[in-house]
Amino acid sequence: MTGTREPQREGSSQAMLRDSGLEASPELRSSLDQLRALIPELAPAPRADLAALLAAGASSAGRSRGTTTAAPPIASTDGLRPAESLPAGVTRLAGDRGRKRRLALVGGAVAGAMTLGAGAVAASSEDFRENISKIVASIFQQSSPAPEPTPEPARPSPADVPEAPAPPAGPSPAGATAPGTPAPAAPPTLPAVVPPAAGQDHPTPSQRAATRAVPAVPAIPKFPGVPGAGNGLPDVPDRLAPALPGVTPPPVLPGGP
Amino acid sequence: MAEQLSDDELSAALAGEPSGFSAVYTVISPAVLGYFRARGVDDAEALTQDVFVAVLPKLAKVTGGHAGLRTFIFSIAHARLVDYHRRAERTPYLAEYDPRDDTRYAASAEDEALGSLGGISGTLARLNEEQREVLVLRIIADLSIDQVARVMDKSPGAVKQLQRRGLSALRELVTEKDHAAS
Repeated sequence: MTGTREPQREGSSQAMLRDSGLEASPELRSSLDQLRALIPELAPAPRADLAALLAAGASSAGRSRGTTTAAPPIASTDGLRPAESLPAGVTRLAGDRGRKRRLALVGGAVAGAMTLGAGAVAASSEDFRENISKIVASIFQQSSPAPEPTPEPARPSPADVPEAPAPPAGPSPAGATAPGTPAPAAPPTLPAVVPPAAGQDHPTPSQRAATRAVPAVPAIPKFPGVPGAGNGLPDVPDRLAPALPGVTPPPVLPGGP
Repeated sequence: MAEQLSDDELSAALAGEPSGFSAVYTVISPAVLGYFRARGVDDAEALTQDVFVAVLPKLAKVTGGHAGLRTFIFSIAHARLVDYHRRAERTPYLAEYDPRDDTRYAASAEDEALGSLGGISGTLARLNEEQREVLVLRIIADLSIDQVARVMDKSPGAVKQLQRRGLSALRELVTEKDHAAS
């Protein structure tokens, strides 16, 4: 039964081609040769369990059929020897390649499972997201306490602001108090303030009153330059008093209600 | 290269002696490894060793001499390959990124030229599954039509048909590639 293999193989491939009617095809024969070249020259180095099996033979394999790989303690020392004594037809082709690949696979699977789990928790529970946002907010608040004191100096400035608008509000109370107070106090401010301010915002009656007052008091425009000085005021009521009492009471009464 | 298993080695292997086991492994495992490589198994060596771990304890039951032993071993190998393909279909393929394996890039001119010269695996991959199996078992495993029929659980006539069609398809692919290269 022994014999050289190559002529036999050549014969088998030629017989194949002959059987299929493709004998005269050099391309096909060369591709069959390439296919045969995939057979390695040497057998791969056996791993531990196979080496133990090769070393022990039927002493462990033949009698304990199913548990051939279950006798490593004794066979393991011998198990290395056949791997080294086999070099007649054995080379070490892929020692750690498979192990590294397996490690990479396991690592990738674990990392993927962890990210999937974390993503599922984050997507499913709103509490988780709220907690995370609270935690992040608290971290930023703790880490930056400085911004809080700064708003305090900002508060006094709004406190100052209301005082400033208060004086400008004076003219309107002055107009409102005009009927209660004696006429001489209110009249000097009215001609200066009412025509521009009340002419735009207030109802038409006061506007009409102002327009009516204009022909009655042609001299008023000259006084507005004076009211800045407090000394000029006593002089103004004397001249305005005759004109205003006749004009201002009517506008105030309809404007009051 | 160990050419062939002698009668003494065969009888020793069937009797369960370690020398017989080693001889069987040394002589037949290269063909099994080539069979798995030709069929595109990524870890062909591990699968080869799986086959022998399963085969060696059962050698005592083998009948039919050398041909029977070879048929038995490749029957186990064929079954393991079927299991491997089923498993590979179910499980996602995880591997380290290798730019050379990335099919989104065009091959370089050198690779094209080399591929047109060789690349039998790529050519085989374009064949029908059963045709490919018959050709690989016939050429790499060095089995006869009857042995292949037993391994694949088919009739010898069907195997013959598959072989003829597979060879015709392979010739077309090879000549087409030659025309494209020239």
